Amino acid sequence: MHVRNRSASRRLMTIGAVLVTMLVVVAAGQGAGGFGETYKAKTSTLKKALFNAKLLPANKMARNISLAALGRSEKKVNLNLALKCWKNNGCSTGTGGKLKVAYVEGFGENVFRQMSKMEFILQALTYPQIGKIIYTSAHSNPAQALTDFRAAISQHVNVIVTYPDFGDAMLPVFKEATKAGIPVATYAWGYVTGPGKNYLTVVGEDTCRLGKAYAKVMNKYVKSGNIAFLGGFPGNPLSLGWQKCEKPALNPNIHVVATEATNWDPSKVQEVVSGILARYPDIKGWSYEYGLGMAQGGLAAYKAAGKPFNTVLTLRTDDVGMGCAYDRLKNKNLRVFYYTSGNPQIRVALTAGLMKLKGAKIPPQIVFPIQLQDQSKRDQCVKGYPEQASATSLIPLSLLHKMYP
Amino acid sequence: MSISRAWLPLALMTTLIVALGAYAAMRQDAFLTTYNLGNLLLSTMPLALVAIGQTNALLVGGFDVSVAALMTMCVVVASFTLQPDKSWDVLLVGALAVVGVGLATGVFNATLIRVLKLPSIIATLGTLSILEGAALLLRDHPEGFINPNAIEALNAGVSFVPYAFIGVVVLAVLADIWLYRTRTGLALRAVGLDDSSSRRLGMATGRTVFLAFVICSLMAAVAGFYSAAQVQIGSPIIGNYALESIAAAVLGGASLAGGKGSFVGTLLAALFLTEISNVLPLFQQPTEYAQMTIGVLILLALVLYQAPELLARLRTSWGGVGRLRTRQGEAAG
Repeated sequence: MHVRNRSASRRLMTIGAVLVTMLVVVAAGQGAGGFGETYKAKTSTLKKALFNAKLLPANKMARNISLAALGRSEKKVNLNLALKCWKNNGCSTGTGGKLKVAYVEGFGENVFRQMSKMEFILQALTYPQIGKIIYTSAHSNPAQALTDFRAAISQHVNVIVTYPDFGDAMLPVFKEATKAGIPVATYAWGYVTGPGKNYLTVVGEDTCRLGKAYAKVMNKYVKSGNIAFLGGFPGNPLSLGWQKCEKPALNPNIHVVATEATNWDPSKVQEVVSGILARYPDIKGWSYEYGLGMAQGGLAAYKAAGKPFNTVLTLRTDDVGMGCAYDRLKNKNLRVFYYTSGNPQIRVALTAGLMKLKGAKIPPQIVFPIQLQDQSKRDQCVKGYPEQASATSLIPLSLLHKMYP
Repeated sequence: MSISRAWLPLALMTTLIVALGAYAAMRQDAFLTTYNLGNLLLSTMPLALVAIGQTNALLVGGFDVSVAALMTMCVVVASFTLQPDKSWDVLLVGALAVVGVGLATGVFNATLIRVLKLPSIIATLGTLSILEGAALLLRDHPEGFINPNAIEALNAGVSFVPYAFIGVVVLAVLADIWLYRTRTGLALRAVGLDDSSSRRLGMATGRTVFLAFVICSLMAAVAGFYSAAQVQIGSPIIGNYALESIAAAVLGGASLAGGKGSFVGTLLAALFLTEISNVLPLFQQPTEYAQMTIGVLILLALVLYQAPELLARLRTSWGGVGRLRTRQGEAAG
C-alpha cells in the first residue's frame, strides 16, 4: 500500500513536471516570436541601424515586427544572388517558394533608393517561401507608377512594399491592392491617407517629430535670421511631414525664406541652392533630407558663389560621403545634424506584410523614435565604407563594395 | 499621296498592337485578365484624347507642348470643382469650369501664334511654364479628392471595355471622315501643307490655325478628366504627355511639316504606346526600354512614312554632288 502510494505520487510529480515544462516552452515560444518570426535581434544590429538599441517603436507589436525584421538581417543569404537580383531589378530566388513579393516605387534613381532596393532583396532572400522578387521604378512618371502598381496586382503578388513618391495620388492603387487581398506596406514614412484601412501599414520615423528636432537645432545654433527648406518631389509625404512641423517650432526670429523641391537630385539641389543663395546671401541654415545630395549640390553651389560653407544643416540621411566631404572641409563654422537614412525600414515593411499573410494583426503605423546625431561628435565618415553608402544600412560591407566598387 | 501610303501607319500600328499583345498573352497570364485589359484601355484614354488634340496642331504645321501642363491644371481645377458629396448639377458646372480652362488656354495659345506670330513651340512652351507654376500654386502637393461618382461615371464600361474608349474610337473615325471627306477637313490639311498658297486661294487660314489650337487645348482638358479619374486627387504632377502626344500623332501618320495625319492612326499609336508601358512591368523589364522603343519607333516611322520624299531629297543631293564633280573635272581639265 505504502509502495503503491509512493509510485502514484511519483507519477503525479512526473506529470506535473512535464506539464510545467510544456507551459514554460509554450510561454517562451510566445515571448520569442510568432507568425513565422523570432522577435529578436542582436544589440549590435540594432545599434548599427538605429544608433541606439533602445530606439525601437513603443507599440509592442510594432516593436516585435521591427525586432523580427532587423534580426533577419543576421541570417546568411546568397550575396551573389542578391547582387544579381539588384542589378537585374528582380529575380527568381531558386527556392521554389510560392510567394511573390514586389518593391514598386515612383522613383528609384538615387543611392538611397538603390540601397533600399538591396535591403529589400536581402530581406526577401531570408524567406525560403519567397520564390520571386519583383522591382519596378516609374522614373518619376506618376502615370507609369500607377501602371506599375497595377501590373503587380494583376500578377497576384503576395506583398507590395513601396515608397509613395506621389503621395495620395497613389491611393487608388493602394485601395485596389488591398481589395485584392495584397498587403501594401510603405517605408521611410511614406504616409498615404488611411494606413490600416486603405493599406496595411506605414513604417518610418514620425516626420513631425523630425521637423521639431530640426527646429530645436536651428533655434540653438541659428538663433535668428533666414533659413530654407528643401524637399524631394513636390507633395511627397516625407518632406511635407517635417516641413509642416518645423516651421511653427522655430524661434520667431528665424524666417523660412524658401521651400523648394529638389526631386532628391544633387544637380537640382545645386540649382536650387544657387538660386536661394543669390536671393538671400545671408542665409544661415538649411533643412533637408538627402545628406549626400546636399554635400554634392549644396557644397558646389556655395563654391560657385565664392562663399564659405558656414551654415547649419539638419538632414535626414547619414551618407558616408556627406560626412567625408564635410571632414575634408575642416570648417568649424559648419554644423551638421543628421538622422539615419533608414534603409533597413524597408525590411520591417516587408516582414510586416509577410506576417500579415500568416494572420498577424499589424499596427497601422510602425513608428521609430527620433534622435539627431551631431557630425562633430559622431562622424558619419565611417572608414572602409563606399562614400555613396550609409553606415546605418544592414547591407554587408563586402556587398556594398560590389554595389559601389 | 497613294492609298497604300495613307494606310501604312494604321496597318503598322495595328500589326504592332496585335504582335505585342500576342507575345504578352503567350508569355504572361496576367496580360489577358479583365483587370489588366480594363486598366490598359483606361490608361490609354488620357494619351489618346490629348494626342488626337495634338494631331490638330500638327495638321496645321504646329506643336502644342503646353498640353501636359494643361492636363495637370485641369486635374487640379477638378479637385476644387468636382469635390465629393456634390450634387450632379454642381458637378456639371464644375466640369464646365474644367473645359473652360481648356478653352481659355486654347484661345491664349492661338492668339500668341496667330496674332503675335510667335512660333508655336515657343508660345506653347511659355504657356507650359505658366500652367505648371499655377498648378503648383493651387496644389503644392496631392490633395482634394475628386468626386467618386464622377470617377465611376468616367470609368464605367461593359465588361473590361470602358464606354469612354468606345466613344473615343467613334470620335477618331468620325474625325478622319471629316478630315478626308469634307471641305473644311481639306482646308485644314491645305493650310498645313502650304499656308501662303491657301491664303492666296482665299482660305481663312488664320481662323483655321486658331481653331486647330483651340481644339487641341479642349481635347487636353477632356484628357484631364481621365487623368483625374486615374489619380483621383488634385495632383500637381501627373506625367509628361507633351512628348508622348506628339509621338503618338507622328506614329499614327502625322507629318511634322503639317498637312498630313490620321486621328484613327493617332488613337492606334496611343494604344500601342500605352500597351508598351503596360507590358514591360509584367515582364519585370525596366520602363526605360519604353522610352527607347518610342524614340526608335518615331525615327523608323518618319523614315518609313516619308520614304519617297527622303529618296527624292537624296537623289537631288546626289545629283548636286555629281554636277559639282563634273564642273570640278572640267575646271581641272
